[in-house]
Amino acid sequence: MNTYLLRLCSYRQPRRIRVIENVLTSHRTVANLFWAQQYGILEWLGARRQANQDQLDFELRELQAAGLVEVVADNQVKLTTTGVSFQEEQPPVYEPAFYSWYWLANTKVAFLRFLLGFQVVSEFSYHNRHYVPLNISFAEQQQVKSWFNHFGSDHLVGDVNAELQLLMNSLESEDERLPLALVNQLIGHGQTGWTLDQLCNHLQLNVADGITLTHDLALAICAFSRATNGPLACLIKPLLSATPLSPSNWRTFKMVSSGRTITEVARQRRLKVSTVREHLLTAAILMPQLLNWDQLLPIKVRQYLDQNYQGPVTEWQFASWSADSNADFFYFRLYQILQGSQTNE
Amino acid sequence: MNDAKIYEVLKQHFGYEHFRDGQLATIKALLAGKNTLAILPTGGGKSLLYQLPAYLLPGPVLVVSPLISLMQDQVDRLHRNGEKRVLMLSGGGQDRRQQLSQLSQAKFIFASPELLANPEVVRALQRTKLSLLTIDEAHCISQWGPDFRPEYLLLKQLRHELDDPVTLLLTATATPRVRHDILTKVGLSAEQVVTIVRSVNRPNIFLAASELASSDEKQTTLLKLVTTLPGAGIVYFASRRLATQMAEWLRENSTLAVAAYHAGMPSAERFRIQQQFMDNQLQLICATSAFGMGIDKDDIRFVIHYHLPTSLENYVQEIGRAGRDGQQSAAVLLYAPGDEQLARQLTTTELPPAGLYQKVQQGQADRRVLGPDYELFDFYIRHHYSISQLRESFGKRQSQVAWQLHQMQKYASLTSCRRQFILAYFGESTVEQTDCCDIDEPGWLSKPLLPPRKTTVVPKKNERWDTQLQRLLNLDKESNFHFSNLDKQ
Repeated sequence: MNTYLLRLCSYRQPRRIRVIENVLTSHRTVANLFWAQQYGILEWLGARRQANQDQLDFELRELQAAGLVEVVADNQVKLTTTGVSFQEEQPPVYEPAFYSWYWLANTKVAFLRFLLGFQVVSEFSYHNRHYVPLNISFAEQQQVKSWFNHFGSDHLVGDVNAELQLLMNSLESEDERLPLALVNQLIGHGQTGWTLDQLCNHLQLNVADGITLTHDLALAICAFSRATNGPLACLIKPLLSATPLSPSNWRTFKMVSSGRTITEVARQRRLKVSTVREHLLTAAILMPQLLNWDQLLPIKVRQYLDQNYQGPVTEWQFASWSADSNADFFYFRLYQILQGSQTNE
Repeated sequence: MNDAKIYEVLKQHFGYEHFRDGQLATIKALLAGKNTLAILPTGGGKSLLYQLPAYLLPGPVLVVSPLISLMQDQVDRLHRNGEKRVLMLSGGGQDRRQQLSQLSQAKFIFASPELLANPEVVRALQRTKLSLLTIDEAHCISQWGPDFRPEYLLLKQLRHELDDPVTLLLTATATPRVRHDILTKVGLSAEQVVTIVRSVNRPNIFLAASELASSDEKQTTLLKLVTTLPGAGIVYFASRRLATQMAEWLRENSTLAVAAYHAGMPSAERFRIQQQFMDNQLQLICATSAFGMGIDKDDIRFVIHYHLPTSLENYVQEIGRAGRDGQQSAAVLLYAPGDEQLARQLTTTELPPAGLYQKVQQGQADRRVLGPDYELFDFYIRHHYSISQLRESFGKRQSQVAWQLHQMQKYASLTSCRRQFILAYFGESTVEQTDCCDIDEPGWLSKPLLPPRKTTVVPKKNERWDTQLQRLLNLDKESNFHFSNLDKQ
């Protein structure tokens, strides 16, 4: 039984199953991000991009059959008391260290690119052309090919070795299982690397911890690539995001921060007002500390919301108070995010 | 083209001294510019039939293949041979545009029939002077044409648009009726084609089947089989979930190195499992039929089917992955009551109501209303099939599918020789041989039928990460940043 989903469930707070699924597969809508923030699982965004609804439903059914979780109204899930005891008796043996970098890259793409890049270097070091490269998308293969054409000199092998020594040492200082997991997941000359089952078997992890560690490792590689300039880091860098926001979202955010109104931004950027609002709500969830809340939440609106909405934010029911219900909902959600993030802190 | 030149390429590019039966005749026919239908048994070296001529012909070879996994296996095989001028057309958008811009550099181009229905792809191929068109698994033209893969029906038109290149039709299993159908669908007459047929029989594969009372009994029998039969094996399942669950169960209940394999797994996992199986680090694979369509492992000793395949054509294809090295191997079919229901579900296509079909045809409703198979029906709408034509075509196909499944069931329950049954099915005459099937030798499992197990390669353990990294990068332990054998080459 894969107990991965237990970590994302709570005893006190029933959580929407689809939100959990959308967070894991990185389906970034404002609603998903909002609920992820309220559940405190934002850092798990994109942690299982490979999983699909069928698979996660199957895992959930198994947990349900074992009495560890229960499905309550509105397709929500919560831990049972048995589930809580199970977690206390068998706590996760791997705690992620790099999940705060959740926004940095699509780890699925980055890790495959990293693996193929290393494989090419490893086979190159043995002067071997007769090998099967890891099968990734054509566009990704082309990226690795042009990277190799650029870096492929006699120095490359030594440089990659120096780079990986540095990475492995940093990983080792965090958790000694990480460099072992990485070196054994590498594909290279005479090595196909561990499958997930083999990784779990060798590191004595259950499959849930194995999946968590693998994603953590991919995030660590991305964070390392962001801070260094070795050949493999240069291969990964183009895949890294500069901020948790998408470039378009970031532009909206900067324009509003410089004093423009939502309507002005929408006109200048030829976007719908609703899109600009979504950009701002996303920024409020992902980068709350950078937001000028006073600018976005006019004092009168804030006073109204202070008076009418109290208690746990997830239980608030929206009701429009002016002629523009879309604008009302934007303020309501923004206020919810603000209050929610203060509560979470 | 003289034989000496052909043998030279065989040695130079493939490392072989001799051809297998039927290979040279096929290659000579192709090099003489003749369209050829080659029906060679599984494991008969069919990929060589288009790969070798590619090195003697000026232009690239286009290989039409039904499954991505099959194409990927062929691409991997070429890479392993050191051939880099390989292009597998897949995906859309930017990927496809990039691929098409590199067509002129390719020696081998792989594509699915669906992709070849795209006008942009066809135009790009028209600019590339193809030397050979190969239709791999050509029985799909007949087997899957009217229902499952309608784009196969467009290959006739495609061939014409590509200026009627010399065409190689390849298959391992084709009854005389299917052979005739293949030619008709590609728009060739028997007179325009050289047909090279070798027996479907694989004498080194022992045939067995077990009828079991329940799924529990089936599971127990499977465990007994995989722990008794020596060597590498594949167990085929009808679903991904069962393949995964049974792999886990077999790992827990045996000492075997077992892995599940199916198309829903992450690509790196699939890569690792396939390579580990090739390197004998894994002994047993629990797979769906996606695994090993063209796997380049010649010492698979047994293939077990945990579910009833939908036809003998499929069954013979799948068991044909065993014993490519010519050594004794075995194919076992496990059958429990009710298995045929599952197979029936997999082969049934529900037609939409006539009114709905016509509404979509007239643009009055979205094609999605036609149900889960809407893309399939959409093909027929785009090609102006009336509902009655569709009914007729599907009706014929449905009865053919039912008949094929019935034959498969009969095979599972036979009380007479299984090999003779298969040969008769494919219109071949009977053969006499030892180590034939479980009907002749009911106690076969207790006999040392198969050659002993090869040593399983156990990957190095307890190696420090830095040592392992140095090995992967071929570095001298003393001097970290130098090649150890750069100067030795």
